[in-house]
Amino acid sequence: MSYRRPPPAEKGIGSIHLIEGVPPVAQKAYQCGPAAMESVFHYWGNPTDAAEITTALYKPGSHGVLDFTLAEFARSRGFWTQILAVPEGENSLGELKTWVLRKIPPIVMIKTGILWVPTYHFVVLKGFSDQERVFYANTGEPETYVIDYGALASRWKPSGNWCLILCPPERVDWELPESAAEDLALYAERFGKQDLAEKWYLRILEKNPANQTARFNLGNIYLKSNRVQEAKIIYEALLKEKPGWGPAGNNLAWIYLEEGRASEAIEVLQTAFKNGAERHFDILDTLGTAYCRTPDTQRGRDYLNEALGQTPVADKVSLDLIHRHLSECGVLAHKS
Amino acid sequence: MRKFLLNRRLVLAMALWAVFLGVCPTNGFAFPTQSLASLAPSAAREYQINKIMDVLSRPEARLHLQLMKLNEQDVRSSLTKLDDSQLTQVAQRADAVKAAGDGALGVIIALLIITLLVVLILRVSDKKVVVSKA
Repeated sequence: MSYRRPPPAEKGIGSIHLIEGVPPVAQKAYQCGPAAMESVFHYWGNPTDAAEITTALYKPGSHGVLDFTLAEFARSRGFWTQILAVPEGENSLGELKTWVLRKIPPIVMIKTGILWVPTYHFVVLKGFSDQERVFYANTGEPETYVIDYGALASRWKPSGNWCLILCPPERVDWELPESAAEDLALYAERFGKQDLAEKWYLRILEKNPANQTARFNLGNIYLKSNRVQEAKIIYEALLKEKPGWGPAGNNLAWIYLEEGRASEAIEVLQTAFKNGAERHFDILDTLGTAYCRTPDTQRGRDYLNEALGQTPVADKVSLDLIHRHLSECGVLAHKS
Repeated sequence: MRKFLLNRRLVLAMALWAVFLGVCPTNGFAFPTQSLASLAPSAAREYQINKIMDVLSRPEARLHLQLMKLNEQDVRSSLTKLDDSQLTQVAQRADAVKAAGDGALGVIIALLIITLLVVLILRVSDKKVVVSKA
């Protein structure tokens, strides 16, 4: 029994909600995932050929893909993603309609196999009609199909009501649970969207002012945007609450060093270590660099060498930086 | 003496030496710690990956991977590419499998959840299936 059929020739007036600009994409064998993603990428103005997505996601000869790799690929292209398992119940289809009304086409996983042979398929939902009780969908065919509410519900359920949302991070204008909000803020920050990241960190802190990670990250946003005093206030407050928190200590010490206050930088970090901060290489590097700005340059070199020992071999950037600090420390020792 | 001190080459050499000694380190000092995910410090990533791989080494998951012609190395490689929060989400789903237990119902639940982790996609066979009115 097919779950889909062509849309009716005439549509009911006033009952259809349709997202324009979500083109149906004909899929190749085993590649409904890339076809669905090409369709949604195109909608968001980031045209990417399904073949390119396939190359990125599929190992030659494989017959499937890990669902989180779809999300990860979308993220690598600048989209924010959420994989949802929509709770079962009367309103599960309502959740899908909500996404359509938000003009965000969800990708859902439905079961298309029979009996105990579990085969799954990705489809993109781009509209619905309550009057006709159908969703409009891109199903891997070159034209749009409709799927009855009942057929979709029954085929969606075996996938655990799996749904992938992907959109530009700026497009997220709905409430998010704290963990998802943190994810979005961090994602925005790492993609250089500082304003968006700041907005989401502030929203998190409105609801949960005690969230230390969000506060620390907000401090980093301030630091990156040259609002140093605001950053300092945050790091100092965090260290009062958690004196052994290395990241806050490191960044406060970094500010002190930039201000030429090496002895204060040393005090912050030595206090952090005394209170149990992990001897992470970036903190050791900051401490070593601080000592190199004092007459005790030998101690600085000792800490920098310890930092080198802690730095992962694969982290060439950090290793190069610490080596440079060591040779600069040597120059400073010679000068003194 | 005056002639010695005013020697052009000597003056130039001393000036260059003074500049060299006075040069500040490039690119500032050290580097600040980057922003953090609230979950999963890096030390826990390996633990989470091992937890997920433990679930996917169950017989029902292994069969699924074999059907998909994916090996455990492929899965582990995919997991290492995830950022901390995505990895934590997958690990939480792996926890749900463990919570399902080992009884018959637990196996069914585990199988369902594992299929969320490992998607089997076959050629669309619907073209050959009898179309009926929806």
